[in-house]
Amino acid sequence: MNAIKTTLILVLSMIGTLALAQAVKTKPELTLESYRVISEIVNGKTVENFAKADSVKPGDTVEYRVKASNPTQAGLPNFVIDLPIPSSTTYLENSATNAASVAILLASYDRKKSFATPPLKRKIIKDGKTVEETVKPNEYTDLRWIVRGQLKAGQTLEFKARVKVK
Amino acid sequence: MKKIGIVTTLLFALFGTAAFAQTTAATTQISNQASATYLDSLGNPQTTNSNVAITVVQAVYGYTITPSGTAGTGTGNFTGALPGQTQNQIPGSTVNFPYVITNTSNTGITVNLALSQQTGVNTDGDTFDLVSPLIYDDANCNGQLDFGESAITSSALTQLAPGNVKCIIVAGGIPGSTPAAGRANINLTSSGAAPAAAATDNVNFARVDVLNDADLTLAKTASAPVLNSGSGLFEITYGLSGTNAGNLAAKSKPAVVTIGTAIDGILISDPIPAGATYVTGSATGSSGAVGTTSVVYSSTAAGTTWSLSETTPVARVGLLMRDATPGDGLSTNTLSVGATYTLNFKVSIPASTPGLTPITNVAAIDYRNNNGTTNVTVPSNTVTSTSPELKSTAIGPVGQPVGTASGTASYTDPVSGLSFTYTRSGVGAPTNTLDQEVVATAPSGTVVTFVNTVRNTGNTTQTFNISVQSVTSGYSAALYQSDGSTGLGSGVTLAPGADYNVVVKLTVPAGSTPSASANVTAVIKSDAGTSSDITTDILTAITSGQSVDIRNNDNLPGTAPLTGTTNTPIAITTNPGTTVYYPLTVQNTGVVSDTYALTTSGLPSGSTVAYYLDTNGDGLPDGAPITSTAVLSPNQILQLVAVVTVPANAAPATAAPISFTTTSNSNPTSTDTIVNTLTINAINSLLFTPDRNSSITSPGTVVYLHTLTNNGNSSATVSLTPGAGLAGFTYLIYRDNGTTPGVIDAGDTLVYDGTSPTTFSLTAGTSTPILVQVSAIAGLADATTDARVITASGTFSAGSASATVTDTTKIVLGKLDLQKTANTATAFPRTAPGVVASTSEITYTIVATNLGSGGLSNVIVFDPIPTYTDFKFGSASVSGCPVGSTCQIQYSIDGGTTWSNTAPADSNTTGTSNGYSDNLDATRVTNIRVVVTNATSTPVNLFPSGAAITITFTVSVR
Repeated sequence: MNAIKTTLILVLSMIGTLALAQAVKTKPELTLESYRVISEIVNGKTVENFAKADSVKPGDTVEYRVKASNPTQAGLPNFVIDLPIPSSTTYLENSATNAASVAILLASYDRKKSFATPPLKRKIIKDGKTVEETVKPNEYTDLRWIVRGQLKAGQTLEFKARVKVK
Repeated sequence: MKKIGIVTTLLFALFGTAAFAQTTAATTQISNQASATYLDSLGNPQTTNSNVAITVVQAVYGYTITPSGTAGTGTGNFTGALPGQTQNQIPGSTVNFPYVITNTSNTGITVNLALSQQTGVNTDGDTFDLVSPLIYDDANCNGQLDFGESAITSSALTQLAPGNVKCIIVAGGIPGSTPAAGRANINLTSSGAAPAAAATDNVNFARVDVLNDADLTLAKTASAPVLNSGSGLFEITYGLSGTNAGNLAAKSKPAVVTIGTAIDGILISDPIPAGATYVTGSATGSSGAVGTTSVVYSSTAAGTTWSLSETTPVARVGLLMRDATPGDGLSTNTLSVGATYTLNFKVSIPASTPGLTPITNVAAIDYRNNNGTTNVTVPSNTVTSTSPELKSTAIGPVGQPVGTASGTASYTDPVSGLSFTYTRSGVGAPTNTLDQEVVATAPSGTVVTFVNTVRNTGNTTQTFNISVQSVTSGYSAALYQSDGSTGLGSGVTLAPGADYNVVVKLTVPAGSTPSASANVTAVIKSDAGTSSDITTDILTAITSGQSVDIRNNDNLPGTAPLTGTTNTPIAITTNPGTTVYYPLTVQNTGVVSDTYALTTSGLPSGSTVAYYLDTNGDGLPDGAPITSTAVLSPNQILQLVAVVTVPANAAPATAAPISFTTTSNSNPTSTDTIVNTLTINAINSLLFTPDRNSSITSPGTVVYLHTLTNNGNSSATVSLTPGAGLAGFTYLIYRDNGTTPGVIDAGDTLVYDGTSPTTFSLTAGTSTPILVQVSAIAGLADATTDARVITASGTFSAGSASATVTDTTKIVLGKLDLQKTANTATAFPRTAPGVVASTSEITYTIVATNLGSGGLSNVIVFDPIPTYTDFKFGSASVSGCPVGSTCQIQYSIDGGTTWSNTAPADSNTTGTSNGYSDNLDATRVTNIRVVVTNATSTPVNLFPSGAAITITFTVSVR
């Protein structure tokens, strides 16, 4: 009887483990890390070092790194990643990962109401005429990466963008 | 308390630079979270979020104190230091140095303050120290030490908003014994209190120089611009005042002006600022000068010539303070210590001056030091007034935003291509009676475009909110930019005096009721915030924008229908049970796109209609039936086929008018009808069935059942008449409409009474059963046959028809042959009653045969037991009974009055039974018979022709 009991418990525990492992693999994973960018000049060259941005000071540059990984067995199409620019920071121009072969980079200056390829433009009425002006990067509110094709099974992509603490 | 004006200016400048960008407050948590959307394997949208990345903002410390100057070297860094601010004072006075502390931290800090003075006579000219220098909290930040403002040694600053500052004053006394040209240098040092200890600002040098001379001050003030309702101009009042703040008298400048002759004196000279105009008669002035004081004027901006009366123009206003001997060309005492002087005048600026235009003015006073040789020009502080910002707008008919509107204008809408002519009238801003723009007429279902002009009637660039204030109920109006196609958005920004054309599109709904006096009104408002203006756009009359034509498609077969409006009716003649086609054309003859409902009236009863597209124009239906057209643009033509189905029993009709109508779905009053005709042929037909035949006896009667049907398409008036036939037969004809079908009963209607018919009506498509009763008189010969034709004659609504049946009746007479034989010719009576003797028995055989041509009914063969004989029990039998029939032997004991299927019992009472029904029995068989029955034959109990039965029984001779 003892042997039977042991076997039964073993089987049950295996089933439990299997079920847990399958549950984990049904969704993509998204992680966000923030680093403080520390620039110093060494031998006449600017070298950047990174430290976990647990605390910063006004004027510091923070680099956000978004990692999207797909641990599932299937590719995920229409994979769109949104990264807000926190209100107490401003986006640094051209700092967002812009790997055209991997993803399309878009930006919004109106809290995601509209997205377009940076540099962003907008129309205003000036002296009764509609004119187009370039939106300053420090007015950007959100970034968006649209992964080309799909986030393939087992694939991990990383996107970066920098902001300056006000 | 000197040079207040300069100090004030300095403070403004300090405030101006005090604003700095707001930093993120210490301890702020910057939280961020990325999100992603994607499609899962089932194609469903999903969302996932990252962790939340949290970054905490740390405190940064910093502050500035201004004005600073630059630090030198040596003790206290005084040697060679340049002061940030310098003042001239006289011995015995108090000097006030205003400073501003600005907190540039992202948190609150405390700044500790201290003072240090340069000591000793040195190369920087420092000759004395200020007495009891202290730091005061300049609570109202006016740069002056006011009553109640207390001394401090530190200043607590809490960062609240950009530009958060604290004003302080460093004040110190100048000893009364201080000689002229004395100098004191002082520095304000500071450091942040923990935790901001690392922040310091120790470079805030200041200097005071001591005079021993005349010192004329000149402070200038300017009022806010005030509207002079009389002139419509804004007026600024300038005030100039000053005093000799020195400790010696100020002397005149020889020939400071020449008015006719050279005049010695002290002159205040103030140019009229650009864009402003001196207000005639506004200048007044006075002074404590030893000589006469006069207001003087110059027509030149440089003030090269002066006049005692107002010049044209007045380019400068001055105050001439003469010395005691103004014509001697000598510099003499003119303003003693403490003497004062004032000059006031007004300038005006037009209301059209752009808002917030700076009007800058600075005056100067010219005099000589007490030494009588040094010319001194002291400028006043600079005052800057700003022109009032007037925000107002006007809106009116196109090109006429203000004033009286008149004339006509036209505009072609770039979107619809429609052109409009406007009639303008009324008076717009600023009077603001009704100004309006009128379009005379427009069709329903269209958009009427108005153009209104907005003007910035203010003096500053402003964004005006343009809106539709009201529009007649049932209509809508929308605003567009000047291009006529882009929505107006949030507003129109215009420079002063600029115009902008706003396009107003008034939608006239398709269902609008045409009216010559619709007077649809849209009120458009331009709002400048504090004021606004409206204008009114009016559409006077509405015509119907919808129009449709339906006509026969008379171009078949063809590739395209005719575009004319040929309305020659199509006349179709057909039989019931058929389908006919009416090829039609529907054309949108209105100015707006529309769809049309298709309806029909006047169809002959029972007929139905369905509309189909005729896409290939062949006059035949294509596709599924429709009840409404698709959208037809103006002038577009649609080919249709109306398919009319005539049912099989349709009543005849002659050129029945059928109205094919098409009606605008957006405006039911827009409709058109084409009337075509349909003739349904009359069908006259009666069906009378079946032929019947029967045989009857003579006399005899038979009833035949027929069915008469009206197969025509109208009611028939029917008469039924038998034709000629043999004598001896009579005919009565009934409609079998009584209670019992197939039988003539009380309810049936006699329609032929033997001599003449009675007509009756038979509805199209219905039937009625007919009963023909044939009666034969007695005495007719067997096999007499009457074949009689019954004719049903029907009169229809148009024409007539008839049908016949033939009833054949044959006379069959009854002929039953009976042959009776006995088995012996001799028999011997029984010897005694009760004896059995075979020799006494006689057996009879009776053969009954139907020798007639027809069947017999209810055949009964009777035979009495012969006299002197007795029936032998059990001897009776019958054979040859027809198949299906029953031949029942019955017995009577009373001579044939009553009958029984069983013989009475052999119940001899006086001796033994002998088997004979004799007088020893209680009763005696007197007769026997055989009854032939057949419940299922026709007629009942039939004894067919040729049938024969054989009956035998035995008797005993008594």
